[in-house]
Amino acid sequence: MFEKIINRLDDKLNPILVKELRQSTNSRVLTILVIAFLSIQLFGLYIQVFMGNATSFDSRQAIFETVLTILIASCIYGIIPTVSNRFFRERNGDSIDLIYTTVLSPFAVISGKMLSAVGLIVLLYSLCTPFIFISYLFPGVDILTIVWSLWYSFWIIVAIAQFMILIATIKTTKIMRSVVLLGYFIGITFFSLSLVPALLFSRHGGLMMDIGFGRAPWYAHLIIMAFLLLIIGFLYVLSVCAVTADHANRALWPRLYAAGMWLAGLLFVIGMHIFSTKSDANEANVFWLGMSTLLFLCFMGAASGEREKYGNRVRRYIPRNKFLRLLYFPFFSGEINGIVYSITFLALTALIFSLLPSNTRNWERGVITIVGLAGYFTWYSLLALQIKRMFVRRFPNMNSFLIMLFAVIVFTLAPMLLACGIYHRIDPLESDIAPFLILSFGIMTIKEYTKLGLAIGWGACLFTLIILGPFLIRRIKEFVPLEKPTEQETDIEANE
Amino acid sequence: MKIEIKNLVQTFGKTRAVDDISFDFGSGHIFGFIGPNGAGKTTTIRVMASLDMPTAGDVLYDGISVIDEPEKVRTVMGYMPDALPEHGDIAVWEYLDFFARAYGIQGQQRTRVLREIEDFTGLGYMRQKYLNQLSKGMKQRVSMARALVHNPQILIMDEPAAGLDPRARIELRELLKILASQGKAILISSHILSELEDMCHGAVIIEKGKLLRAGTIDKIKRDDGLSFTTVLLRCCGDNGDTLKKLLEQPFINEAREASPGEYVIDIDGEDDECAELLSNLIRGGVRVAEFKRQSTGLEELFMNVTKGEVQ
Repeated sequence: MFEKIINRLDDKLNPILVKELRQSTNSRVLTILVIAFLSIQLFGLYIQVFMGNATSFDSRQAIFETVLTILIASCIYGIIPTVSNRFFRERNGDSIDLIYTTVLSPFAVISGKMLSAVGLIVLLYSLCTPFIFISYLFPGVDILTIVWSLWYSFWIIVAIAQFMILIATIKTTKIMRSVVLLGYFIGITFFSLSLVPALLFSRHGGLMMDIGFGRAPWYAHLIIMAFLLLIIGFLYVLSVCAVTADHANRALWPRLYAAGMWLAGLLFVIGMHIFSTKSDANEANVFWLGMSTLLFLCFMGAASGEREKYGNRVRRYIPRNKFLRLLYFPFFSGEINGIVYSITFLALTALIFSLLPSNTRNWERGVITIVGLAGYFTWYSLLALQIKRMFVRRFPNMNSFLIMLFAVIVFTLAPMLLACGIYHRIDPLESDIAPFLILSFGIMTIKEYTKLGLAIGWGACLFTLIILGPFLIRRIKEFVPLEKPTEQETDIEANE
Repeated sequence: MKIEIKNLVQTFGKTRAVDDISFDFGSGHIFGFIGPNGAGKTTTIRVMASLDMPTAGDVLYDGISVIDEPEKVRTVMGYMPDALPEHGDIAVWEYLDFFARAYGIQGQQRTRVLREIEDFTGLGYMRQKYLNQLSKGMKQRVSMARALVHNPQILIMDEPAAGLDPRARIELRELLKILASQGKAILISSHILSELEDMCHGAVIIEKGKLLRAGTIDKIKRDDGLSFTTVLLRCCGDNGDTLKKLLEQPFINEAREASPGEYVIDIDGEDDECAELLSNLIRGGVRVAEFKRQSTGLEELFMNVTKGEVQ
């Protein structure tokens, strides 16, 4: 009976998780890492307890800090690079077939990689327990601080692991891989140096009070955890999207997830308005507005690099019902679909924000900022499409996403640099510099130029839209389901 | 099952690695995929294995498109790459077990399938070894075992015989013959034409990304005017004029004396004509010491068709 249950459980395990854990246990790298981890922990503890002066409260707290720092460093310098580098190699190198010639779904591939990373992180956390216990015996740290620090450091490390898995999904050369790993090590060093003090500081109340959640601790924990899990989930769906077959509807999950995040944020804001103080609710309003705008602008940018034609695979899932087709349109891969998706959600954000109860006087500025940013970014995306259409014959592999990024840089940085070069100043609020910003969304930050900025952004957008009109109409017309072969055609195929 | 390669194009920058090639083959057949280095064989095979997306064209497995439904294609196709990954941390059985799990083979069935595959490929005694500890021949066996785990109807093999010793080559050839007799469609890319010759029913010849010939070997020979048969004849004693007369028959293209008592005869025909010549020789009193038939080989065919150009 027991054996049957074990066997059934074994069958249900993710194949990649099984493979990765087997590889890890066979690997010398992990063995060395574990031995090094235990040795460094012992050595660190020895230095702190016997060489240091473990008599004062602060110095005894340093024991825990040391143990926690070594644990975090082992995870982010050892486990995460190992797992992500292996995936990187499998995705780019000779062994690409290891994962991609099987019938595993993209979800299974990413889940397997993620779970194996989490499994190894849990292993190191378990190994660390005796050292944590020793540090607790020196009364420099309380049990809540230990639990708080371990809990949040764990989830932050999981988020970093998921981020690195996402990076590993990008197909690139060995040189780029080395550059990315180097960048990771530099970036993570700065991050990890500040992580332990931040965790300890936040436990003692400072950070929590600062972000306005000091009233009820459970409430703060809930929000921080929800935020962390949403971020991890978002990185997860992006990774799934990256390994999904090129001709599938790759955009579906990221777009659904982003819509879900947006909705969850909105429910949270409404909850704040019902259950919290006005000032907290207003802060939540602004936070939701900012995050939603940033999120959908990113989607707008990404949309410009998406596919130009709907393949048979995608068309198979387009609904036949016209109303449903309209509803599904923003959730299908495609440059126009992506732009429509982003504009729809930016418009909804602006509309809902203007309807939310608010005691701040200048809430209109929030709406104006969204409308303006949406206009400019839509223009940049459409412009990228138009440029691609103009030069596609000469440069068939042109990436419109890069053109869009280039447009953003040119229209935001170039006017500033030009004005700076002429007037030797960088203050955009000066009226002689401001006109230089008319092609940039930056102009909306200057009150007297807001209307002009809006007009230019949306005007340029409309102008590009008119030029692209026939192309866009054709693309929308192409969004039709794949016709099933008639019986006669099926018979002919069968005879052939 | 029918595999159709339709107007396949694959470009890398300005290079057209595969230039509008089309061919098809079916169950129970072994097709050789031949061409000089840089001809576009591996590129084509990678598209067929759903590893790369083609620039244009498609590959259909019984009508299932490799572009539209790569996951479905992978359930009916097994791919054997030219090199096995050099993992120093995964044993042979673990590697095969991963693929069996990935193809959804569960419980006792997985154990049974893996045992059968290990027996078939002769890997049983080294299942505990790590991949980087294996010889080239053993790696090829693991690679084949991996491709066969889910019992695919189509097997695509990229240079399976490269670097193998003669014994391993013979064993590989026997394994492939067994697989073909089980009704599997097999496409093999290889440089070793003598190996292919013994087992291939057909051939696809490409050069500089362009398809030169495709079809059964007999068809290609006929198309190229290479359908005659060569016979090596060695006689004892002086046969003089008798032999000369006997060799003046309408189905004999050409007969020349290579060395004293040894003749090379080109016959315009196949089995019937060879048999007739031999019986005539014996009836005419020629003392035949050796009568050896030689068909036009793949090597000759390949040399006749290709120019040795590389992109």
